[in-house]
Amino acid sequence: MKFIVQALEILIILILVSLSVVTFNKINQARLVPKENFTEDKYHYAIITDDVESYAYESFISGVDEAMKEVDSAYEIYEVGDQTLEDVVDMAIITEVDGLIFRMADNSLASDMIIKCKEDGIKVIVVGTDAPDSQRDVYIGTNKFNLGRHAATLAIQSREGGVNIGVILGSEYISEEAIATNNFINGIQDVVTRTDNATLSVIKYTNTIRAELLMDEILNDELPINVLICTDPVDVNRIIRVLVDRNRVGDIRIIASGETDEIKDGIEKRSITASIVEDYSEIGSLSVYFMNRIIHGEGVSSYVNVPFETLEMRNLGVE
Amino acid sequence: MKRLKDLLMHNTLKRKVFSFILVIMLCFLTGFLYTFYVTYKVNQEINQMFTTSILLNEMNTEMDSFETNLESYLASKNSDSFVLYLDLYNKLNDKAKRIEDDESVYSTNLQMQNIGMLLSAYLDVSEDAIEFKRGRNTEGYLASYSQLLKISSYIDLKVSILERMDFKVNLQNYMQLSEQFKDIQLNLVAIVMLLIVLSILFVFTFSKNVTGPIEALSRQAEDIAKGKYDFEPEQGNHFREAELLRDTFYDMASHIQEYINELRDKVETENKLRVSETEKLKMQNSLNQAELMALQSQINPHFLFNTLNAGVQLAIIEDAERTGNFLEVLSKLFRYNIQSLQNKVRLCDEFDNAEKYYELMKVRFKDQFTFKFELDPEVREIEMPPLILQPLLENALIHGFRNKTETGNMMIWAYPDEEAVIIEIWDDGEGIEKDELERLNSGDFRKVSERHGHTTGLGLGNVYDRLKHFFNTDQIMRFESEKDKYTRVIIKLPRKGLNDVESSYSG
Repeated sequence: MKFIVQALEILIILILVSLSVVTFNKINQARLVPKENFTEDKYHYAIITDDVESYAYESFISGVDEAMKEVDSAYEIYEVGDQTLEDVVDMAIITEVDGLIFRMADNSLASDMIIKCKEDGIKVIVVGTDAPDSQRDVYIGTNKFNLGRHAATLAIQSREGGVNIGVILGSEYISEEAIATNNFINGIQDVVTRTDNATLSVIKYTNTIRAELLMDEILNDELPINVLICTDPVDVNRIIRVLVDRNRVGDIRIIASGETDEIKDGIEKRSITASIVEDYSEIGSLSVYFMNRIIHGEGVSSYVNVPFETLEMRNLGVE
Repeated sequence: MKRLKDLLMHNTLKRKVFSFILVIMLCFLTGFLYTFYVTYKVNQEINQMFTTSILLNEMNTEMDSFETNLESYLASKNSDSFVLYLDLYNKLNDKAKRIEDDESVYSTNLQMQNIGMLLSAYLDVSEDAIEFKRGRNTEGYLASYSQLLKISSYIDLKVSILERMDFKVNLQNYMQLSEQFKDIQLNLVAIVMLLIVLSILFVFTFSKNVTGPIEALSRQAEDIAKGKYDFEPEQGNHFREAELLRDTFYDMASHIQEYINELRDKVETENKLRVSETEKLKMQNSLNQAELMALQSQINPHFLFNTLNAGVQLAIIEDAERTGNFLEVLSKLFRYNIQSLQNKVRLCDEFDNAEKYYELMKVRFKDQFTFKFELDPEVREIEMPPLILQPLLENALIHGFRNKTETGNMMIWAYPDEEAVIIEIWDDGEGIEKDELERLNSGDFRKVSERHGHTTGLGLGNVYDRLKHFFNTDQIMRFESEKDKYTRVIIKLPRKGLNDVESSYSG
């Protein structure tokens, strides 16, 4: 009995010691989520954008994030909306950012602010749309005019006979802008005018109304369109859902944008004819790399064109 | 080393109790410190989580007050407001540095940096406004104040962004911490439970150590109380008081045992003495009884004795020589028989008396019996109680030849042995039954103690008792017999120590 009790005591002491060591280690390992260590970052960038919801934005930011890890820099995002562009730029200047990336629907509208930044010694890159009059350091983006042309070509190829094209522009496009300044629409128009039996009859913006409602509106109004070009992959999914619900799949051919799984699936199921893939992530990465090079005083091209791809059944290996 | 071993193994109870309490206290102190450490860590982590919020909240409050005082100064040049403004300026300036240095470990560093810069710009603009006011430049100080409010709104914006971000991070931190501390909590519960079990075991061991030796001693005390002294001494190292108690107890037990042995010896001796006294009393009683009987019978013997003397004289006068001899022998026999039984006689006297008895019996029974006496001269003078042989002869005559018609032979002879004098009384009478013989040899003379027919009135029991007490031994008289063949009574009178016994007997 005495031996058993002593053995039990020793066993408990051993368990206690082990448990204490384990618990002590656990306590010491208990750490909060580590902060962003800005003091280790060399440069401070800011992205000024008027679109923080679209697929294009998310894809762009993912590219920025990837690149930031490689260049030892930190960035913050200023959304133009609740704050005016002037205020945002003012804040950026006061907080002594090293570089500003303008990603506005129409960067040319920010030309004055870009000039102000330049005067304060801040490097400026514009993405998506150019601001040629602004002394910006670099423009990075897809040639929207060519993109429009390519979308229109795909739309015309999707229909034999007459083509009546409708366009639903994603939230990166602003409805208040003059249509003449929209290079994407200009590109479509350029092809349509050169093609017989082709018209561009409808242009809709999802920055104010959701894509499902727009599609309902088109169908309810019985607008005579047989091909729809969408610039946002999220909008594509919403439109397809409406067409399926209203049993109109096939009546309207869809030329989509992006290469999400849903879009690939749509192409495979023939609910989407083709998709133009604009590489927003690449644009995001290039913005950071070019900004870094400018700050380091390297000479870079002031115009960087990011090519686009087309996703069709033959690309996906489906015949 | 021995000293250390002694110190460890032979603790005093005081030291043991102290060590035990110390160990238990240390156990719980460790547990308490452990829990305290965990609580401290959690508190520290939570403080870190909210350091930024606390700092920014203070900054916002001070900014509000700062703006009020600045506005008051700009509007009225109130010196009190200016003093307060300066005080708050210093505070905010200090905060700007702290924010830029970023005391928080977990808050978003870049945003803190921004807020710090904005606050510095805010303070700079306030200085501009003061300067403009002093320079009486109204447009300038209004513009500066307006700029200050604008930067203030930027700071608010940045703070709100930071708080949103911090909320996410803190929520994540909280989730992470609660997950981590859930495991730690479980471990702590297990540690506390184990500490409790360990303490219980310690208490058990301690109480066993303390009470064990006392219990063992109690059991042994119980044994002693029951008279068992052959217990195994308790071994092992206990605390010093227990060892002292044990040693003292064993000493005491040993002394008690010795004392009891002494008492037992004393009691035995006393018992022996008491037995001896009892025997003596019995002897005295036998003698008294015998003497009483003798006295009772003395009425007749005295009368007879005087009468016999008259008869002897008459026989001499009448020339009846045989009758005269007969009466003379009878008179001598009576004279011998009425002597005190406490007297000592010689063996030759006993033989002489026996012969006289034979002579009388020969007149009575003619040739029915033959007697033969042989006395070794060496044992003639041996002393013994009186009236031993005559009762034995009478007994042989009464019981041995009661139903016998042919001539009976009797022989009595005494001879020396190595350490004793042997007297044998032999007859060829009816003999004794086996059962009767065994009973006689075991000292039971109840049936043969009847005095009927005995001239002396003394039975075998009386003879045996007197011999036994005279010579102080049980092994003094033995019977041998074969039915219808013979009976032999063997008396073995010891020589050794005879004088001592005799002296007490005669005394």
